[in-house]
Amino acid sequence: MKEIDLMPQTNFLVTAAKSGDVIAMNQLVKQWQKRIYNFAYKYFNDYDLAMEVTQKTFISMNKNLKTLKEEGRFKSWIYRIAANYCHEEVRKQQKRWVFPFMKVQNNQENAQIENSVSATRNENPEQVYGNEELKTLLKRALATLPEEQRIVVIMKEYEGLKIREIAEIVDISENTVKSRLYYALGSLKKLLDQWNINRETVHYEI
Amino acid sequence: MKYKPTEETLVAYLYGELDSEQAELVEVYLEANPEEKQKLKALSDTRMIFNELEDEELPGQLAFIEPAKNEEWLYWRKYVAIAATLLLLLTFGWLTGFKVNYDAEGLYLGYGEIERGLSEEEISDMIFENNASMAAYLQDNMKLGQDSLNLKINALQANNANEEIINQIFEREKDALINQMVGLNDKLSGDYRDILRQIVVNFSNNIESQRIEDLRGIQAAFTELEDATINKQFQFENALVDLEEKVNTVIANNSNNK
Repeated sequence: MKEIDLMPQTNFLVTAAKSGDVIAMNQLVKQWQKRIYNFAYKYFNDYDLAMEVTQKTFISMNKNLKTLKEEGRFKSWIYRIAANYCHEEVRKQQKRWVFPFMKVQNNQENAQIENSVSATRNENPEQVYGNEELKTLLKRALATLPEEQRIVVIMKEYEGLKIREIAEIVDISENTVKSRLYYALGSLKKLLDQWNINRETVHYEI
Repeated sequence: MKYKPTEETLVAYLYGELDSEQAELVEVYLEANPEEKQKLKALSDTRMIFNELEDEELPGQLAFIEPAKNEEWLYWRKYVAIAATLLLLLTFGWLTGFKVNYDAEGLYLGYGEIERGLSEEEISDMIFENNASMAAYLQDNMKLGQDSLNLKINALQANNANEEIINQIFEREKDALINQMVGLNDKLSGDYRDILRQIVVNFSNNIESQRIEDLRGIQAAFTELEDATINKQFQFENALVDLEEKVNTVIANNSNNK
């Protein structure tokens, strides 16, 4: 599994940034912007929304870092801000009656997926999936998960957070985190089965 | 004892977040239940496949990142800049073969091999040469000044001749003007001449009568003065007679008394 350590120097940078060190603050942004952006990107499967959430998260960090009491909790703290902005964005989108990952994908990507899946099946059942093709399918699969499961899966699988940390960020019990993970993984597995994606059909690049 | 882990425990096991004791229990359970083990493996495979989704790079720079304002860095940056400049100069100097050499004979700067400088003699020669060329230059300049002065004097002399011509013209013009005036006078009619003559006569008459009157006044004044003088003389004579009489009486009295 991808293990993302708490980035070295983060604690030091947080302490410095709290005391008003602009360079430390910028360094902190540089260190964490990729993580927050990718978290938001997998959540929305939309570059613009991901960028917006990332911007807002770091603006908030700039403003509120002084209120963070323990430097060690920075990681949970920053993901909590990002998750909140993600929720807010979803609420906004719902008010507009549009879901970003639904609006385009329903028509175009579904067809694309159907085509690619059926085509590969016809040509060669042992067909190895191309990298880009696979990524598109995986993103699509993530997008089908209910929001509360999706956020937990992303935090666990891609951000490498501990179950305890996720529980703290999302403000639910650890058991709820686990059961959401369990159901999410089950749903994803079903989808992969449906698309005939398995360890044999996935081309592993060394 | 029949142990059956919950879904939550299985997930925690899957992610390696169970303590060793619990993890052992789960392992034992899975060994005993290959079906469950298979199910869990399928979930593990799913996770593996999903980990194919890699991180994306940020499509752009975050808008709000401020440029560094840290004073300490700005402070050091100055010195870094100076050091960089020096390094650049050194590199450039090295590339162009610029050399600086200092020894008992003096300081030498130069590109490539440094050549010995000029001797004292050579320098004095150069100074002499320079002075000579300066003197020649001054001489030339003075000659030029003289020439231009001569030119100016010539021009002035030419102007003198001009003055004579102007005088001639002036005289000519003057004669012409007088002639014109004479002609004009001739052309004037007799009436004008009479009037003019009358005016002159009247003027002289006036002067004449004024003179006569003045003379009369003077004469009157003289007559008056004469009369007054005669009167005075007369009174003076009378006074003398009186005085004589008085003196005579005094003398007579004196002699009588004696």
